[in-house]
Amino acid sequence: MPMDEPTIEEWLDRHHVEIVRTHALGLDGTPIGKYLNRGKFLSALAKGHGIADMALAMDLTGNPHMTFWHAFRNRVFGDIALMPDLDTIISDGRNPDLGHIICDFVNADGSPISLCPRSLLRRVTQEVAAAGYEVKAAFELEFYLYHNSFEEARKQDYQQLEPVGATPKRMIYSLRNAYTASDFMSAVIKSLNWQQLKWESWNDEGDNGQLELNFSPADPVTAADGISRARQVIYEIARDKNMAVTFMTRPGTGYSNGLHIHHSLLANGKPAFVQAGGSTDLMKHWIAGIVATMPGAVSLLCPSINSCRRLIEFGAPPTTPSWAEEDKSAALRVITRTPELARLEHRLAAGDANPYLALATILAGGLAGLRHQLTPPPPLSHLGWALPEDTEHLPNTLMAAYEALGKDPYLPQILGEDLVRYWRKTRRDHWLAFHTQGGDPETRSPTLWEHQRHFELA
Amino acid sequence: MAEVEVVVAAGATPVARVMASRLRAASGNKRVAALVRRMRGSFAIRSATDPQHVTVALKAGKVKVKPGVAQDADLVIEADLSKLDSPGYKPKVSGHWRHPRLARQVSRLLRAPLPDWQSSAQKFWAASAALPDLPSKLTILCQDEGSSLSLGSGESVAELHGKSQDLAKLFLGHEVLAYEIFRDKIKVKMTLQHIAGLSDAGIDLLMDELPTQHGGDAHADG
Repeated sequence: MPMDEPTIEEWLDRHHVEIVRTHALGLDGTPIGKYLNRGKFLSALAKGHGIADMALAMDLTGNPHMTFWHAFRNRVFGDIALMPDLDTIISDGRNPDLGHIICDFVNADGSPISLCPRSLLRRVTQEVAAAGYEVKAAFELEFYLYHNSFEEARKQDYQQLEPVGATPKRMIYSLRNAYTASDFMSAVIKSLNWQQLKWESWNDEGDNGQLELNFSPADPVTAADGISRARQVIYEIARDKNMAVTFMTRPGTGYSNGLHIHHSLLANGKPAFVQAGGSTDLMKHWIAGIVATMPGAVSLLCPSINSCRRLIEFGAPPTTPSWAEEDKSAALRVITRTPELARLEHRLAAGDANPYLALATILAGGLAGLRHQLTPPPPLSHLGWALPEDTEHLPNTLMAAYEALGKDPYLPQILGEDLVRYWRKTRRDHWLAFHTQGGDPETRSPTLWEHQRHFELA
Repeated sequence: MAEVEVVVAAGATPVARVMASRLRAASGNKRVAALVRRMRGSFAIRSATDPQHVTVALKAGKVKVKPGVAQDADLVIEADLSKLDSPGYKPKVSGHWRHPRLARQVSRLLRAPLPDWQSSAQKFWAASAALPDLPSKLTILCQDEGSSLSLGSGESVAELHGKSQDLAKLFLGHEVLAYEIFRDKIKVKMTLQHIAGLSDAGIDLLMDELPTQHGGDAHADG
């Protein structure tokens, strides 16, 4: 049952919740929020509770965006608000007084802000619904787990950390490696369960200490909320256990953390990508739009210098704007085994991508394909890596992706011109900071500048 | 007489873009342009304080600026980039025994005066006129010269105070207003919106992204 103000009060009574922790993701995907006492929470339901406007206008390290502007900001330093989504309230499974709720960024008068990642995903989902389709989406979350604490990692400049794992060799799906992480993951799973986050599986991933956690399909906003909450709970459990975890895309020189995103469309509750006669025209246009917007989408899916380091041949992520049936070297893996299982797996997003922005970008690509009746290029008929230079490749640096997004004719129409303009400014700022504040452009290994930004905050 | 043409490599780093802009601006002076046309060879600058590097190759007035230190650079200069054009500053230079003439020319080139801050400010103001988030009127006060300049008109007034050299770098896009405020090089009386708008325009200038710039990375200056 959808919550409203009277029912939320009743809910707080029933669950004995005296404190509510609000939770929102800024543009860079960093969780922010406040702990509110019950009275303050209830009194601020209509317009949200105030936070400084720089909460949505700061970089990953909390520096305010001083070199570009957006109309939502006050002319000086002022306030905006976090508006709770009452349907997301849950009680904490470890602390009986505490509740958690997901929020959208709004103006101080409660009106929407076009830069809010969660509001954007909701709006794009509504646009897909207006075209007649319901979206189901699911994320695959990857992260590294270390025996060292965050404090030790920091003291060691994030070098020479001890990954959790049984074997010194890189493996994948190793039960011996997974066993060494099973205590940690048991605690994670308990938390996911009390948070009502529907997970499907977890396993040892391709590098030492790397794990993957897969979630069940849900509506887009709920699916992205789940990733936002899961990242936070995984972080908290690591901290409680004196361990370190990171969603940073490339903490070392091994495999990177990705964020594969699956989605499918339903029409009148029935699979819309594949029907009895095979793949539908809808699916072809949808694929065409996603592939056509893929170069521009790199900026939003691989949002940092560090995440662009992932875009290398045979590194597991795709390097070309491509699609193919059941091919994990293509950027878009198309699965059409049965109508019910039919879905698209978008394999480009990096571990530090904002799940709301990433999924909104992918859906915007599909929607553009549908609106403009685009035709997809031929599917990959060969391995998607080590292709000759005359093959179109995806941009593989932050600024190449910035340029590609600037040239994209479709994404700004759906994501919003001002969001795309503002986002590009944030990426240019990130690039400028990297080069002028100590990042080394000539090394292929992640630099301390990257670790200090991403290891604990992504 | 052949022109001076400064070309910056695609995907150039900020330090390479600043160097290219600096060489273009300095070549506006006829004597500097003549010097550039005489120069043959290459020099690299390695920052002594961070991992920023740039290589400049010169031949008959054609200047190519690339990020990084080219292995075949004739001269390698290790310097604090913030002091490179300061009088009396002596960076470490290797290769000058083998290329003494080039070393002298490079030294003159790197100390060549930039255009005065007033003309840079006027060009900046004209080029950024179409951008949002700028004040309608900007008054600039030069602390060491005791001079001032007002640009534009209207009620949305902003004021900027600094030394001539710092003002020149600001309006050439070599430094970013917001960062210069944090470094205490520039003082302002303006809203955060105007600081952001002017900073944005400066970065646009450096990146050849101002609406009135002709775009592309190659520029010819006579």
